[in-house]
Amino acid sequence: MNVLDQYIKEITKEVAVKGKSRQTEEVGTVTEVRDGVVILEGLDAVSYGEIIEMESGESAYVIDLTEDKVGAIVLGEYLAIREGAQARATGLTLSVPVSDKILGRVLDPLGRSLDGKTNTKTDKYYPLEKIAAGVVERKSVSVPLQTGIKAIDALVPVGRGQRELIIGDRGTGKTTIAIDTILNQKGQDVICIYCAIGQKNSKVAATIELLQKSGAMDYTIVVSASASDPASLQYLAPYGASAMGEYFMDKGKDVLIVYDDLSKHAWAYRQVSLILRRPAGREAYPGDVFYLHSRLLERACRLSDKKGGGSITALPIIETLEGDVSAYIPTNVISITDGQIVLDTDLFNAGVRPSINVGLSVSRVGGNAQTKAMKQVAGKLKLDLAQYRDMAAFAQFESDLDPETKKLLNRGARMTQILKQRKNRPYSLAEEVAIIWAGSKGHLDELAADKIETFEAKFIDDLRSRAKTTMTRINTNKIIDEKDEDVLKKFIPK
Amino acid sequence: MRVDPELKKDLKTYLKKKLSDTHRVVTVVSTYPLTKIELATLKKNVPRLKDSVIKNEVDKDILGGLIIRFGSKMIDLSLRRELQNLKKVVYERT
Repeated sequence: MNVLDQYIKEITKEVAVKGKSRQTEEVGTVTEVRDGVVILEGLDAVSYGEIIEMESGESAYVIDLTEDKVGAIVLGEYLAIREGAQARATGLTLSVPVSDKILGRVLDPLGRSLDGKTNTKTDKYYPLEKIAAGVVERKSVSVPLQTGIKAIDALVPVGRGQRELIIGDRGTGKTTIAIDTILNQKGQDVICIYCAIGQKNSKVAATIELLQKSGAMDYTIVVSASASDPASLQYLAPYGASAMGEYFMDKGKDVLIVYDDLSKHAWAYRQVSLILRRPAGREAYPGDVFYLHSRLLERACRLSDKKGGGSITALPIIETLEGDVSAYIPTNVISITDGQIVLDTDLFNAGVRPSINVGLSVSRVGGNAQTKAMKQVAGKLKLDLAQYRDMAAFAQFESDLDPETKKLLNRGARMTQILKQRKNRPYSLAEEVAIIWAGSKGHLDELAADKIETFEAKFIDDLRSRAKTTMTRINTNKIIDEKDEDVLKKFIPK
Repeated sequence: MRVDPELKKDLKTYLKKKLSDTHRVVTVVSTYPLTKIELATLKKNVPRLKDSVIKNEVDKDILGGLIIRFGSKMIDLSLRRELQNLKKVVYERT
């Protein structure tokens, strides 16, 4: 009864206020309801991107203004909307509620709870669509974002504020790389956002479970618009995730956002555009599909110290068909991002996991951010692998090779073995450096290739338990000196 | 196609008049037909109504009060709206 009394009190108070004036409202009527999109008449003075409210309580987002009609995408259930229903403009733009409490939550693209807990109560809102930080507000990428995956940290390093595309066929471990990167951010003071677009609910649930089990949920937000959600929500999901990321970035934090995946996002936008009868272009995508992704990924940046020095690192994921990276959406996103990690089905099936195609993967800015220790050991690695690739192809036909070539092939095969890594087992910087050091210094050249994995497991175990001080030193100084090398040498069996 | 300029001029003035008429027409929705006195009070209190043609519509669904509509604009003073707002407030608080 207490609550009811409170209401009555409030209402009487409101009624007691005299001369309450009503504002003039903009109204329109629904003339058409299509899949997730409503077309309205009226609303003469509504603006692009404004939220309108339906009679049934649903809100919609204006994305199409023609001479006499207004097109809006419905945020939520559109089946309850009748033709002839009234809608009124609210004068608000689309935004998500943000606070520190959204960490560890599973939210929909508009910040509404999906995990059964109460909605976030806050008076702070961030707009979904925001123009990215300008040139003067930025700083170049200089701090590394350790992914914990040897192959990536050594060959295609990612820096904080970078946009690195993960691209590959279905089932090549794209999501695994992204999730491993999130797992590795434990204790690194990085806030992670996993944005699932058009994915199976079961897969998202499995991911959340994995994150919870590994204790990664404490610093992670999951934003999900699953395959069963309306295309409109799938379209908005990455922008919602980006807005949440910007909140933390403006507080000076480093943020990592995984967009999984942007091909489905492009599909959702294509659906909305076709329903709105916008002219279709190549592969039936609308003309602004490039801008769709460029404006999203441009929001990933590293702010200057004046602006707090926060950053958003973006790891967008694109799924290709039959390894075709020259399709429309993949080429678009490749050109937008600062590099790509290409995953290969053949490598994956050959047991090279993560199945990173070293030749095609690049990082255009990450090199500046790579730690000194990694640079020391990985410089040689890149060269070794490149020579190995060149040789391996034509050495197949030669029976007797000169010792120099044999040595090269031998080294290459071992390095390939070293870059293999089990999933959900990210390495610390020191561990990565140690094993790559062992390989590139030639300490493993005499070991049989199939023994490398057992050696590596034992080597890392030994280092973890018996060389703690050296490991912490490498981790904090981010450099490997002769003293460290001497310690590491002790753990290599003769 | 050539149009007689005289005809064109007539059409233009006709359309102009019609357009300004629709601008001047204000619909007032109430639960019962309003009397002349009520309309006069309304005109006195709502400045927008002063020099416009009032069209009175009856709609029992608004329960009480008035809705004033002109073009795509609306001033909703109905009881239905108040109840809807109340519903929303109660729903949001819980």
